[in-house]
Amino acid sequence: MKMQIAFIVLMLLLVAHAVDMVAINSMDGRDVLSGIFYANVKGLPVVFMPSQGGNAAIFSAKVGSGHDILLIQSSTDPVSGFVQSGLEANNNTIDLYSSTDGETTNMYLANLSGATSFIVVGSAYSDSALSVITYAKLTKSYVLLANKDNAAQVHDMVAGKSVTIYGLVDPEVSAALAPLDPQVIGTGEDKYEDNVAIVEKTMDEFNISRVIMVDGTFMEDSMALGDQPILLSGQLIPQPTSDFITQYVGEGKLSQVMLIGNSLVVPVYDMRQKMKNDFLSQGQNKTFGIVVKFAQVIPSADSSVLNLDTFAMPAYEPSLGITGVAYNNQTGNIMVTVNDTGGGAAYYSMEVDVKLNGQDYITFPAADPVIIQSGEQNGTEFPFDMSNVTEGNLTAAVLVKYGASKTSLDAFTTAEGPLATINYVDDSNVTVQAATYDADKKVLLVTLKNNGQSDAYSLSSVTLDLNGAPATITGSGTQTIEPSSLVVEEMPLALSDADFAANSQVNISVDYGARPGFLVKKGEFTMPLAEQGGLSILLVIGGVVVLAILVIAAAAAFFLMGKKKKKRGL
Amino acid sequence: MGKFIWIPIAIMLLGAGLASAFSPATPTQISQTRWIPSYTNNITTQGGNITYALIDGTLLTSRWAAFFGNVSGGIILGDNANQVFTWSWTPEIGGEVCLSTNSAYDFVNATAASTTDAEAIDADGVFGLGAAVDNATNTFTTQDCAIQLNDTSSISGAANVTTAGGFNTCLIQDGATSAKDDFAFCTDINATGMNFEGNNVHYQVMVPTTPSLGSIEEYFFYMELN
Repeated sequence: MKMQIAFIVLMLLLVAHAVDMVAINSMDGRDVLSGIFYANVKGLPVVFMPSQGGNAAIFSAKVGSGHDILLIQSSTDPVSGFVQSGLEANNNTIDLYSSTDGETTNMYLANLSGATSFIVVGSAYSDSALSVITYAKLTKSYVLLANKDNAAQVHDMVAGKSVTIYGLVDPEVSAALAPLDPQVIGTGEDKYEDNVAIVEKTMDEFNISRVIMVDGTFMEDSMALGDQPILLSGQLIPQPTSDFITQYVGEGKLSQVMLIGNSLVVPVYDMRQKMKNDFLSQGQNKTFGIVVKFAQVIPSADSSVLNLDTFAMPAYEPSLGITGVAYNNQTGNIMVTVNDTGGGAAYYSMEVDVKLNGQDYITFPAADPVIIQSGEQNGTEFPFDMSNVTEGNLTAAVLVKYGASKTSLDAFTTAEGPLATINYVDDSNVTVQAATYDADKKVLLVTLKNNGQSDAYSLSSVTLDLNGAPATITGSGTQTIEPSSLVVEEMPLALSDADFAANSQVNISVDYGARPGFLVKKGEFTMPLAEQGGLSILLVIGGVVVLAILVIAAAAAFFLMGKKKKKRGL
Repeated sequence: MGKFIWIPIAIMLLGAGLASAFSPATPTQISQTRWIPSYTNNITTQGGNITYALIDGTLLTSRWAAFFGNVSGGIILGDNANQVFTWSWTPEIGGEVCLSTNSAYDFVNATAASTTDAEAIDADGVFGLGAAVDNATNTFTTQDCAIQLNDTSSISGAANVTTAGGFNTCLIQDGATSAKDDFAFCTDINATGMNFEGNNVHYQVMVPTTPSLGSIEEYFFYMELN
């Protein structure tokens, strides 16, 4: 800990004198974003090396000379090894921050910025970070990239300051920040709806009538500038985005959309023409300008025409697989299992078509999309009466549509084959043994026991009273519990003394079952909430008592031995 | 006596060992490697789309640079029965090409810049063209340019210069004239236009460059679609 403090102090000293520009040379997108967030809080210009085609000489020429530059440079993966020397050769002074890890850099620059207002976004993907750039700049807020692993650290960083949670974040992050009563923008269920929410808020609060419209896969200079809200779209304009544009153009609040490069020209142009016709049919002449920013050049440096400087950002591409299709004779249900093989959550809906001898027999239509977390398996059951099927070849075709947003299921996977029959009875039994709060680690520990004779799978959630309102924290994922075994599930949670006192009893809900994805059973438990630190104190007190007894016993023994010696006249 | 001291310590160690016997579940790590980009640049073209604007050539003098090129029409995605995108833009529909040193020029609040405003371009601290015979004051001598931005809003009476071949470069400003970034240099797209060499191009526009050693401008290309 002392080493960490010393390191931070050293780095603060290194960059303590006034810099007038921020430059970033890293292939880690988190370094690029963090540098932009820092510069925008401090009101400094920011430049970054493009992830492809980056040229240190051109970069240096664009920066110019005579600047005092904070250079954020990856220690392991810079875009170019010549950036620092090129800037120095151009008569600039360099304060180097060597980034070893994007997450650490994000926290370090948060500290260095001195920000008193923060926006917390999920760290896994760039959509959220891009969405909040402009609002963050205009409110002088630093953007923290949060996940379940750094939730407690994020809590400590923003405690006592203004904090906003935007979009989809890990449940552990929401739970860790809940006691701080944060402002919440977006539901996290649909990235386009969330994006529209922050764009509307930015335009309304700061009277802005133009937006930059991108697909969220890259960063470009004008986006980093943070003076126009960033509106996300795809090759098919999502419904929330289309509705927003139509509404704001109709109300005279949106005049111009700027596109970066050509990729969205066709859908946006198409959308505008349809929208214009719709307005005209209502007797209104409403439209908006489409500006395409498409190239750059440095004529006095005799450069050729260049691509725009962009940095590729991680666009989330969900991935789902169908891992099992079977008919359970014991329950009379078709059971389909899907597995989230992507790096994050996905929404999906499923359609099952049962065929008898190749002919459609019964179709189970798709229901509303449901969410599945990364690495999780979800099971869905369809009741199927097979009593009328006495002979023939039964097959099943499963179509799973999925996507990153609830309203944009733009990918799919299928499976088709003979409908296998299984005989399976779920006799799993899982109970909660204890609930403990560890104040030092800021975690809630739930001890689960599998009382059955085979593996059990469980997902638990705990409902607490936080600031007088109920709040539910859910485990990080499905736990596998071996027969007659205990598992302690750890949930990041920061409780104040008052919160702890208000939760002497907590309600724990456990969904469980004997097959992965089919958590068909449910247990509800009310447990006393113990404090982990309290147990250690008891042990110490117990030890002191035992020690005192032993000392007294030893003193008594010495006293008695002395008496015996006196009696013998020794 | 010494032996007695270790007994409570042993008890405490035993207690501590019991307290940590149940290890928490291991969290699933999300790979962070995706923050490292690995795909090819997608800015100029992408599958299914075409490059809309090409810069075919440049002409440099000590104080001015000219750019000309073509802009291509759109495509219809999907087959005849299921057109996903049914509208396409062509150069005949028209539009504007503008250049500015501002990386996010505010075309919403753009207005016509007068010949007096053009004089600001010559000032030190802006483009610094000074009193040369080919400075902005002596270049933008008329102000009869009309240009349409944001599909419907028209700007008229802008200072302009007609370049060889017939294209006008019109001067607009964003409400101020004290910095390079306040200006944009625009021309109408003309599907049958000619450049200074007499070749067919869709646009040609000229911009000032700072002549002093060590000073540079980075210009950004913008195109507006009517």
